[in-house]
Amino acid sequence: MDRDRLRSEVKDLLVTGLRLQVPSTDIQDDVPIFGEGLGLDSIDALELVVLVEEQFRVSIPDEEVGRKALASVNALVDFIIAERPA
Amino acid sequence: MSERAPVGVTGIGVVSPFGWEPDAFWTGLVSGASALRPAERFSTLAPGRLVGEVPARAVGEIARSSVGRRMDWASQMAVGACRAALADAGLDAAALPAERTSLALGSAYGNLQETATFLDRLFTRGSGNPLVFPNLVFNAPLAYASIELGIRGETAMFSMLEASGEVAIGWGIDAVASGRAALCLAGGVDELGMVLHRVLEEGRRLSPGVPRPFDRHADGMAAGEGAAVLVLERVADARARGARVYATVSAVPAFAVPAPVHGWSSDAVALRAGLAASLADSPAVFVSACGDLPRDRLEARVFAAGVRPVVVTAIRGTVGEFGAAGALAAAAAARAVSEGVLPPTLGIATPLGGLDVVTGAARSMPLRGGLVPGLARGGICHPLKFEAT
Amino acid sequence: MPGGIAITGLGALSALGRDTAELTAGLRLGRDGIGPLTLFAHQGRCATAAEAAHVPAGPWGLPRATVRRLSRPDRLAIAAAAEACTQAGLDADARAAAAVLAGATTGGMLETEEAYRRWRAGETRRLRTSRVLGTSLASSGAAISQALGIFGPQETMATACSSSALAIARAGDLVRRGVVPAAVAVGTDALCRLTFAGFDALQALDPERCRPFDRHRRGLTLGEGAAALVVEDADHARARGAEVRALLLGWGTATDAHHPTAPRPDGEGAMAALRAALAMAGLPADAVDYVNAHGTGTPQNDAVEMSVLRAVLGTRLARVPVSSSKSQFGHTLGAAGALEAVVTVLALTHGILPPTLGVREPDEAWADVDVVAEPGRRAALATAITSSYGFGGHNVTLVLGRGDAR
Repeated sequence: MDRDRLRSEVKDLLVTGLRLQVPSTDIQDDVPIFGEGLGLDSIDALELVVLVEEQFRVSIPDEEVGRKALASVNALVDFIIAERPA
Repeated sequence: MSERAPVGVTGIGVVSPFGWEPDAFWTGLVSGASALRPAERFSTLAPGRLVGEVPARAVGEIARSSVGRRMDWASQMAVGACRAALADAGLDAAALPAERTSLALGSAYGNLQETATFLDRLFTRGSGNPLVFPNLVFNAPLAYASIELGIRGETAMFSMLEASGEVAIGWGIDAVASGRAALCLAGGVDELGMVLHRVLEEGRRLSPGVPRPFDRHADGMAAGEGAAVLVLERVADARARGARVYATVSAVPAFAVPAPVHGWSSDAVALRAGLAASLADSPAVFVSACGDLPRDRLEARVFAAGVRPVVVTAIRGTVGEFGAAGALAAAAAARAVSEGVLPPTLGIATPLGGLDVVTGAARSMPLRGGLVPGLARGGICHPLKFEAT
Repeated sequence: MPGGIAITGLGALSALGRDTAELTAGLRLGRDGIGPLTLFAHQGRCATAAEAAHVPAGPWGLPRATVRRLSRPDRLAIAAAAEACTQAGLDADARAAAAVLAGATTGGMLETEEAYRRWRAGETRRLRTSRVLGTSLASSGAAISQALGIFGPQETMATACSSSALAIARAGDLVRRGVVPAAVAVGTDALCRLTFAGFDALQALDPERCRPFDRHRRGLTLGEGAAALVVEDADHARARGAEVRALLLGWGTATDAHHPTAPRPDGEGAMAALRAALAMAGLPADAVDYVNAHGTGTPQNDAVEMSVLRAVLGTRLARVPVSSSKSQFGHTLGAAGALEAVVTVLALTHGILPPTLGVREPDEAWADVDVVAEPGRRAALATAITSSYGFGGHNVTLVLGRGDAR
């Protein structure tokens, strides 16, 4: 399923792109990406925006959009599906 | 232990994107002109990025010693600023009291370009270039300046990110006030290179256009480079030799506040509390704001107009942002206090509310004091206070 | 200052161990921390180094995202500072007002150079901010401040090999003037390809191991580590029941103004620093009982250093034991000043003379000098000096005196 594949791609990106010490399979779909969940901070946020834009060819123009799109793995998957070029 | 005597600034030397000539920096700053131009020295990712590049200069014009011919760029700017400062102070570089002359320089990243050159060869050829390595040592500017000027007293090099220049000047004030040195050259230098610029660009820290410190829609900084050095002497000694004293300078107790190790603090309350006494004496503040939102917003809260009137101005919108820009701010503060003129902050279209920022033209006003707060990432605050004599 | 300046806490990580207890044992037993270079591949004459026995992972109460970005010297520095503050018994209030003076040379270069290499080689498309955030030499001081709640003045000095000796001098100065009640002086450094390749290119490394003061010495051995000393007013320390482990009696700094890497052959700068330190301590040269030398093992340094000692100590030099601890844990660059000051304090406290490993035959120019070769020698020491001479000619000497411990 496209959605499942996308979900695991997003998790892999989080782990390799931000050098997290957890296996990507441990990342839960609905848990917040920032704050307590994965322990990411604002510097990670900036990097993640760039990585997501590059890999999935979407645009995250500002903080507002970014906050919603990066709220959780599911939120990010939804965003990518909605925004990526056809 | 000698008594601590008042310390004054008797000479100022600045090598900036406005050029190497004496007064180029101050004249440019108060004129309201911008020193930022499209990058020439290297290609930027986005075309037309504005940067503050210092114009090239033949090393032979700066170096007199034989080892000095191999100076790296940062060292060249530092030595140039030292020479200009001494000339401005009416001191003969060849006749300094060697063992009683001190030197202190600060830099955020040192000579990164030489580092990149060295690493390129190491990674492609498997070995380093022995001629380049001496220039990589972080204190190369300190060593070269001490060699060029024959300075044999205490010397110190500092690395404190955005407060690098302030920390060095603070150390210099102590060296002179305590009587350990008859005079101290103190300031900072940072260079702009392709690698650092690329990191900033990819990290989305740079404005696509003109940087707008304290603007509601600030969208990033512009990178710059330069060096500024102050000649510090006891006021009594300066008067005795008939030297002009721009202002007295003192190191306000430095401190840190809770903050992310690699980022800007959000504890404006603690910063304001730590700076309260200095603000009472020095209502003009030379802030570090540069168009980078986390920093600008923090400073806007710290220096917001409150019970005490505070007027602020940011020079990094004019010359660009770099670690040692605080040394240039210190140079500007000394001049400002001396002449009663505050340079304008460039780029503001829609000002953030709650702040009295000098915009448009330079503002003439009698100044009894000026403060350089010396904020840096990691919660650092290393203030310098300049007072009219 | 009536009661003097006390050193009340120590911390140390090096090839000899992960704390001062292991370091002390290493000094007593003459352990050799020099071995094969394993941290990265290197093509050159030399394949040995003194790698740190242990680099802690934290988290020291810091946010996870921050811990991920800490560089190797950051980790070593926090651990050393934490050990020193704990030993000194500094409570939260004391820490909040204390200063951090750090010495470093290359900061997080190990991590940065790798990120740079990969970017230049096209293995990564971007040279990302997070990979180079730990680059700054200042990050160790900031990490210590935030991890341990130390919120007084913070300064990071970088004068090559004398960085942390200068930090100790600065700490002493701030305490002496009453600017802060206590100061943590730290030195830290980690091995990296840049440093290794640079010294190798200058032919400054001994291909096997350094032999300070040996007739056939060929160069230095690089090491890594961190050390910290808590410096405070001695009366203040005793009043709060802290142990005065040693006294910082004096310090002196002077500059060669000669060459970016070579020392002045006549040793004038080093001599000026040594004389100034003794003058501040109010001590004549013959009060010195032990010399912990800069002793890198390069042909030039050792010769200049011995000539300086001879000029200042005169005939007494023949009766003063001299050793180079770089023979045990290598030249730790930014950490050297602090680490060797810790060694000197331990020597004073425990009455042990650290050995100079690798010496087979002292140079004939100092055949009369007691270069401590064998481990296990004991002596009652009251006063000692430790010197550091940084590339670019930045010379620092510290004078240390025995503390209250009996």
